[in-house]
Amino acid sequence: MNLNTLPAGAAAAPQPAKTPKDREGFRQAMSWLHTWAGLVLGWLLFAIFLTGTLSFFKSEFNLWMRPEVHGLPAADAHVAPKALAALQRRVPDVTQWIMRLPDERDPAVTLLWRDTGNGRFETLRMNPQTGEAITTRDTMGGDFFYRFHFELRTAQKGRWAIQGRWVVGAATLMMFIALLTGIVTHRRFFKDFFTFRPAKGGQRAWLDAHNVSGVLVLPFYLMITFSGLMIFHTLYMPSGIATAYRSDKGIDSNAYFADLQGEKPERRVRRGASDKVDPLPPIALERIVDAASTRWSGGRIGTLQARRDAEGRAVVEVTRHEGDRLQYRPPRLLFDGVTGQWLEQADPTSPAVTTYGVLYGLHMARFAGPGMRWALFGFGLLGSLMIATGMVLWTVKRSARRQTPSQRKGAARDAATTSAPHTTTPRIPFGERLVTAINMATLGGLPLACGVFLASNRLLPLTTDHRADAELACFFSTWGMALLWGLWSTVVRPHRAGWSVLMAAGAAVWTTLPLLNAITTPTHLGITLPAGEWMWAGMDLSFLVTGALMGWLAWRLRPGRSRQHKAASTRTPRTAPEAALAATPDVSTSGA
Amino acid sequence: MSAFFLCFSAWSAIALGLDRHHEDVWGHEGTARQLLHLRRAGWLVLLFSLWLAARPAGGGTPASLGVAAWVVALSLSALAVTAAVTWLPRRAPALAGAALVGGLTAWAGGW
Repeated sequence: MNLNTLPAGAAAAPQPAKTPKDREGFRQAMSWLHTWAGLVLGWLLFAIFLTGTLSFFKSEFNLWMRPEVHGLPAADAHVAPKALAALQRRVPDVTQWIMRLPDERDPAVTLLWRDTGNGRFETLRMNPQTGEAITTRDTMGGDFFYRFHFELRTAQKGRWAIQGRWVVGAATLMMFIALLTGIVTHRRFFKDFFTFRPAKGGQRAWLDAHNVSGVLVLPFYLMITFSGLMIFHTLYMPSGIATAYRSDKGIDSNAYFADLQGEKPERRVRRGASDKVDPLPPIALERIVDAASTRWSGGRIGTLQARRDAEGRAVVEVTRHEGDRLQYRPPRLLFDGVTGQWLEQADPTSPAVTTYGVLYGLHMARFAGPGMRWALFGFGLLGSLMIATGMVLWTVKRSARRQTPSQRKGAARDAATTSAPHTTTPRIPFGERLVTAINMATLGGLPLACGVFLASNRLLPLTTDHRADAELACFFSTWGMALLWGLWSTVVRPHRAGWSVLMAAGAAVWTTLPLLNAITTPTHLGITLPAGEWMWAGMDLSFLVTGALMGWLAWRLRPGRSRQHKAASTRTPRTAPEAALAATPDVSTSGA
Repeated sequence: MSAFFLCFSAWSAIALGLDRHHEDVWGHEGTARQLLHLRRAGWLVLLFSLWLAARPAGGGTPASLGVAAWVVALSLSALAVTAAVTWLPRRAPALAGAALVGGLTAWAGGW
């Protein structure tokens, strides 16, 4: 990263003692590792980071993409018994259900239930007051961003999910390495702490942007990558369980998960598809809800679930709302379903489990209120920006290095052959052009594809078969086309409009989203703003801001601009779009 | 809230204690002793704000949430200070003073 700040002949210059030289050697090795660990998986990391950032607003995306949920009345204290009654009217022989109560981020009651039939869980959303079912369009909603960011999910019914998790794990490990080596590589960590010099242009500005976005939010990055690795510790490091939970019948990983959740193994029932289970008896839900509220002295209830335990007794498990504490896996209370009598509380408190829960909770940020959530969202964007500037820096540095010797003698020739708009330097090696193409597809194409995904949610007919997968197809084909465009505009027929066109397309899509919303649904700004429904209006407004930002970037990156910039500045990085971007002053604070 | 303001003033003091920014702001170099004092004061205010955030407040927020919020404020305010010394270097000391006052009032007001 900081290669350019090394004195040119550092290695060759006579060193007074051996130690500084060794230190430089170590730093160089780390710098090499930082560059290549960053480049190899950087594109994937950018995609993971950006979709992960969007996932902080998973519930809001879920809502926006299911406009049928709009306009529900607020829930009252009796919402749970009402919803249960509505469910039992609809499904008399229900054997198990999980009920998610409405909160400020999701106004509907969500019920997962199964009956004596095929044993599969069905989903039901209902009006919290009337118990009326809400039929929503078939979409993955915000869950797509969420699923993609940790298992590269490409279809609604997951395929290659485990493989995807492995790939993401490897990328996360690389990110962790890149962060740690980045700290080592950064020679003047505190000296440069607040330094951002956009006016200097070129590589200097890019490096500053990379350092500032990297260093200032470092606690967040370290936390998010480390906790990301830890969440899937059972997948990435299975040998611990294999050693500690060995039994006569082989490795019992279920016992491990039960321990992790503070559950007694005998309470955990595995139900096969063909097992016969009796329907649930009438549940004393009103009493159970009251008892749980009293026990938690007014703490909110997140979910309720009813099932039969190993002895066939109906039990109800009450889980506290996740917004009430930092640690993931909130405490749960177990009640006898029929009598409503309290049985036990599951809340593992061993130090290891607590640490794990806190890391998990920090990663998921379910505890965060709106302000905190926006801050974390901003940090995620900065992280994406740090990765992006790192990727661009790779090409900027190479083009600068290639130019310095030839520039002086080439200056006169440049002035003589008044370059036509479509000529770029013909000597850019293939590798660098390829990297630029993929940069374009990732940094410009992914935001565009996300916009198209949201637009397809409004545009695809509601009766389309496999509608959720059709939306994903729109997402991935847009992304693919962005890659083709990137290759076309750098490798096949090099020209300068590549970045600008992608950004402009993205800007067009994002700014059109509120308009599409207004045409196709009643949840548009004209209604949500006067009604003060900030959750709905906030989405549309954020889309507009995103579109405006991308439009601004497209404007900064337009082909003609680089020439003016060239005339103005003394140092002239050759790759035009990067130079233009470097001149944008608040690229580090605004994010795209 | 108080954490953000206090961290802002603390980071500002640290930034002003670095010769490059000191020169940007006041147009002349500070003495080594001045710089050191500024940096020390900055670190002290940072520690003070952490202590405030970690103290289980009367409002019922657990210390873990307080510290998490503090770390967020830490990064946010560092970004704000970077923006300030980049685009408004002359105003930075005034902003830092205002933030210190704002932070103390916010703390007194229980935010």
